[in-house]
Amino acid sequence: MKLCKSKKFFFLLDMLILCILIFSICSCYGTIKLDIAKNNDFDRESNLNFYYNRNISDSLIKIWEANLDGGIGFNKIAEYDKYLFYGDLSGKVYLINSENGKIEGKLRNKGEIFSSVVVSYPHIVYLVNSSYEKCEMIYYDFFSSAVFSKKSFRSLIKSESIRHENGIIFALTNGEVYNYDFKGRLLWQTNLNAFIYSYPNFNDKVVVFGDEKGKVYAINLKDGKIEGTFSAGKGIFSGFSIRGDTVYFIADDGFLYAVDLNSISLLWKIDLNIRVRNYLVIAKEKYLIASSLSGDLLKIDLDRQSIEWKLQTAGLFKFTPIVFNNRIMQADLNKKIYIINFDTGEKVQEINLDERVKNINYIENKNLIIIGYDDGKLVCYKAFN
Amino acid sequence: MFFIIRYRAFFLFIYFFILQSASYSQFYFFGRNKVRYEEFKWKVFETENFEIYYDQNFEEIARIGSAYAEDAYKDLSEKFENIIITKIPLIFYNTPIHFQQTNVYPGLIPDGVGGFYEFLKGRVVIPFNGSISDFMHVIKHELVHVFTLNKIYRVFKDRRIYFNRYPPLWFIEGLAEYWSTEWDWKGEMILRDAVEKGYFVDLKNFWKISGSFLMYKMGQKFLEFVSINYGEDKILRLFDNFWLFEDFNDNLAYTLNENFEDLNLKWIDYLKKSVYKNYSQTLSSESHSIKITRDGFNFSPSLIKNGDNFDVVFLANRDGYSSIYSQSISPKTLRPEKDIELLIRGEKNEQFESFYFLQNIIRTNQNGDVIFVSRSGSADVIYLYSLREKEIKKKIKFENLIAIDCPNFVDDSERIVFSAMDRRGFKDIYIYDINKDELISITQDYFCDEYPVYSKEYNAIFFVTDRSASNFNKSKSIYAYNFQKNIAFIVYKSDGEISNLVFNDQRKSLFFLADYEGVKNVYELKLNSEKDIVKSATLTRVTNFFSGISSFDLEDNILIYSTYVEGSFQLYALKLDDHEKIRQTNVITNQMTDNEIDSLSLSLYVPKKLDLKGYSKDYSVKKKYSVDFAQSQVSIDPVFGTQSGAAVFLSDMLGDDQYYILVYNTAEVQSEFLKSLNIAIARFNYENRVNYSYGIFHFSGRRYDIRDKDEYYYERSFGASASFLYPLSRFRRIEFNFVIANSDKQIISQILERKALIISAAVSFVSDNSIWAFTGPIDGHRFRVLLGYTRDIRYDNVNYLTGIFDYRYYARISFKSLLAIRNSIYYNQGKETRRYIAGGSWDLRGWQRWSLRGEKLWVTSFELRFPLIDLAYFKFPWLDVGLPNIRGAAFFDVGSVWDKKYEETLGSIGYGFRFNLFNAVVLRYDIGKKIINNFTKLQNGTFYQFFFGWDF
Repeated sequence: MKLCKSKKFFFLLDMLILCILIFSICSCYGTIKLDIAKNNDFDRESNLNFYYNRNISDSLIKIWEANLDGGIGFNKIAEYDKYLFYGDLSGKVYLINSENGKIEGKLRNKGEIFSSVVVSYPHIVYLVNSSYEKCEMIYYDFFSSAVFSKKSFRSLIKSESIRHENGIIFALTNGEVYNYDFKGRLLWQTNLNAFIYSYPNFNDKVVVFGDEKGKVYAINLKDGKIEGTFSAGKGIFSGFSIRGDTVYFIADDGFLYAVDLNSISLLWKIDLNIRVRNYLVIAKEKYLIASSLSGDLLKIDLDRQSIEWKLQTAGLFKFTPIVFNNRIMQADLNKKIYIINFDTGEKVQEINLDERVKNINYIENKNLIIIGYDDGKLVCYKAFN
Repeated sequence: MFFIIRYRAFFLFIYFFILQSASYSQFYFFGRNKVRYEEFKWKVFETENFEIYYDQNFEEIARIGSAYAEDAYKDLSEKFENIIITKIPLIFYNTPIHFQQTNVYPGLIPDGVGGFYEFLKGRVVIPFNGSISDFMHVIKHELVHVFTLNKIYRVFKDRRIYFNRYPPLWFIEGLAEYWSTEWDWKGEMILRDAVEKGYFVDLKNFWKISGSFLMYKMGQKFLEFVSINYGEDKILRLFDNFWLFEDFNDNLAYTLNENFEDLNLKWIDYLKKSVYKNYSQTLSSESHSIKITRDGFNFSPSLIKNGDNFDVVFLANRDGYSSIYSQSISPKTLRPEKDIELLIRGEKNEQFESFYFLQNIIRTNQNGDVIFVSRSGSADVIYLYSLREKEIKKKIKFENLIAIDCPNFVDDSERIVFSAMDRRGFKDIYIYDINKDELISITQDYFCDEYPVYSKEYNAIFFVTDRSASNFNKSKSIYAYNFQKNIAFIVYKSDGEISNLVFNDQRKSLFFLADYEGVKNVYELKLNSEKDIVKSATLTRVTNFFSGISSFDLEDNILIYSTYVEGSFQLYALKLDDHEKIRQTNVITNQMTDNEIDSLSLSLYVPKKLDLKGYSKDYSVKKKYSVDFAQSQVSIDPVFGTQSGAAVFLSDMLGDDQYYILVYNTAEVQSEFLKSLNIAIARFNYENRVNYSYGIFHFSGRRYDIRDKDEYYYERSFGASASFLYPLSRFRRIEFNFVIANSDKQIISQILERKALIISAAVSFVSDNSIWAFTGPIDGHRFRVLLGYTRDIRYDNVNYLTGIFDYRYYARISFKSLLAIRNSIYYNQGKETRRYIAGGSWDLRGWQRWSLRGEKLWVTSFELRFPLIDLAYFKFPWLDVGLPNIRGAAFFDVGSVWDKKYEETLGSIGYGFRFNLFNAVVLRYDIGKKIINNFTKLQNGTFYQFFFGWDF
């Protein structure tokens, strides 16, 4: 069949459009491809670490900027080797080169990603809220660029998922708690029959959740059995922090509670009169750093049960501060970043920005600070010691 | 066809916004005027989160307001867990009267609007009504709207979902109330009535009360129900889950983890329990009082002895206009003796522009005099009216007092006492000596002092104030001003909101309304016998009505009051002696020592104020313009090819100065691009009482004008236009319009051309006091007369006079029916005059739409408008549909159009149906017969005509 010149042109044009169409359909889900060796250092790391046993300098040098498609949430960035993984609110998971900020891969999902992505070689594990009655847990094999396993649940996740030695624990808003291993096998599940919006934590024996009525649940890490419960004065929406056998949290009545995890009983409580929506950070083994919705930052001596210092700002703190031996860095939704002297609570720097600051991450092995802004912007700074 | 439609829309734009030339314009309008009486001197300063705009007189309260706005911002940012990135423009107006002069919102703002949030530029506009607690409430209410909108926008944008839906209005307004104020007596009053009388709505039927005050308060109550039963954090969850649901009710059910039907039942149960908890301890107005009025909304009663009877003088809206009425009642039976008499017709002329509901604006004395307050032009005035002579005896206006309420006689003499707001927004107590024309103020500060009443017994003026209320909560105190000692001291410190003081000489007691038990009821404060100072007082509850009382008066033994019944306010009367039997015996004693009196009298709550430290700047220096609206359009037409255009509207932050830019191209080939460029730039200024506009234009292209020769022609015109509009009052205005234009017309290309340099001038007078119902005006009149002259000063190709007379009168027959009459004459005489069009549903019905054309036109119409079906309700298995307010009309039209010689008279007669669809468009269906053959014969058959548009 011979085609005249103009017909040939249109034929080629049609083919081009068809190719673009096929390519678009194929790339709907997106891919992440990584060809790297396993690194045990990263495979062991908990995703709930906010304290870094080192000093940090006050001067930050911007090294790159990455623009994501969706909005940044209050979840953390995960790291593996030189790569960063982040799930945004538009349901996309990104593979970002930490050296230059280049987005090297992207997975598209329908819905929002609320909790942090967990990386366990060669899998990326993340949870997507697809609809009001469906949350999906996806195991993606970045070595072979394929979904390895997919689980569906009939509720949403609106808290953080925990990476522990053997797998991932998370609670759905309807109170169902699941523990899966990194291969996608269910280790145990339990039902708290409560609404969970708080951020859980764990030690070597139990994992701790709190519900919106103020009830604390200690669940055996091995079998998922509820070891005991404790009732605080009001709903719990903060994160839990654990030191030894004591769990600390701030309920919406404004009290800081210290609860013994063996007897599941109250050790002490102090009235801080703050509302907290993030993790409390334990630093230098005896201090607890808490930041509140009303822009207060507190350092509490856990042994003496007293407030060491309190910094009041006009900010709104929704993301957990990152704590170093000499400094605390706090992201303020109200377009600021505070760098605070750990010992005195004095503001060392108040960095004014044009956008809401959603989260702040420290990439320890590269000594990078990554700030997540509204509208999907990640900016990376090099911190000098 | 496509081109014609588009072109007509485009041309309408030019007529309305650019030329405004009377001689070219048939698309004129009536309408009331927004009169800019005040010469504002705007200042602006920035706080951390706001840009504050205020008049220079208002600085002190602007500082209080902006400090509070920052506190409210902080609180709301925590509640919403969100912040607003840009500074929020917050525009304060000194008084509600000044607020009604704003140009941020282009339409007329009715009385009672507390403020608004305009989301094109994110402006929050708030008037000060004299009360700092109300001011704070409105500031926070509007800020909740700002945060709500931003939160929803963020939820969608973060997830990259198209932002296409809002929560229902009841939720938006209910939340704004819930997070900005406490539950108060007004909400309790209407909710008790709604639940008792059974017209409250469940969650599925909130739409039925959309936009009403009941909707605000039921929304607020629902969120209280959510917070108590499910936790306040659930409100934020509703926002977080908003993207997951198309239907808000599904979101409610999911977030609250309830089956929707169960949730609905629980809500109704909560509502009833909350309302009925005190039911057994209260009385019903219907069974313990005599009903005086049955229709409309009736407020502010005042009793006066008239021979053997008592007259009740009161404010009411019984027919759409607020007016002052009188009703005679028998002192024995308390029953109405005669028909209600209209004393003062309000809202139809400049003299009585507006009366205020829910305020005490009327008081009488035993000489038969009535004093009342009305808006008249730039400010409120006090009128002294003789009930016997039925005439206004005196009009009292004060240069520096803007808003006035609570007038009262002092000792029945020639002095009156009242509360008033000045340009600073201070609401203080004033005494005016009518004979000496002397005004003195008792207080002079930003505290809200109101409801003054004179006591001969104590030679003192008692008044209500918020000066001892901490943090400007709504609690009020009663103070007394002693004439002899010229001091004011506290008499009674209250924990509630009190109002409507009445001093009863026989009982030597102060009576007032207080909301101690949810709704307002009458209390009696028995003062001690010492004349010079009040050390102790005994408080007794006098009435205990379930729905409470909104205003009252007391004379001798008769108490007359206004209360909320079945969605309206009605007057009731009772005898105090009879009521004593059911009067509550629990007595609250208010005792104060001298020291307490001294300390409370001096202790003034000092609000937080923002220190401007010289940051405030003149607005004229900082004036900035931004785009209100911008739109571009590209169209492809099979005949005319690709055409494109764009319109941009710019205005300053206060909306006083506006620019309209229009660019459009009608080129059919590339080489005509420049030649066919249409551009119009106009500036409109509303900063002063005289509104003016001027602009330049260049229009070029092929035209099809239905009004002219019904054919295409090419025209190029360029020139300038200017217009001035002077509002004489809210109802009347004068307009001047000028246009100079060079016009080149090619009627037949290269063969028949017409060149002209046209100057056109016109002057118009417009009067409009009509009020509207669902399908059009129902009362009042609309009138316009115009004289114009258009001339080609260069070639004399165009030269004609224009005269327009259009008078429409709406004669009320009953509350819902009327006879509408229109008399219109449009007259163009001269060379190359423009033609008018007629025919169709808007004028000569039965004749084909716009089929009648002529240089002269007259139309007279009579139309009987009446209610047909108040609510047609269709219940399908899958859907319930309600069609409210279907109206009927019987009409008779007569008129004619002609050019040089009058040809024939046309007419039509018939009936029709009208239906207002979504309050946006009125659908009209007419059936009738044309009157043909020079008005001598009815057509054979019947015409059926369907169109849309408001009644004339």
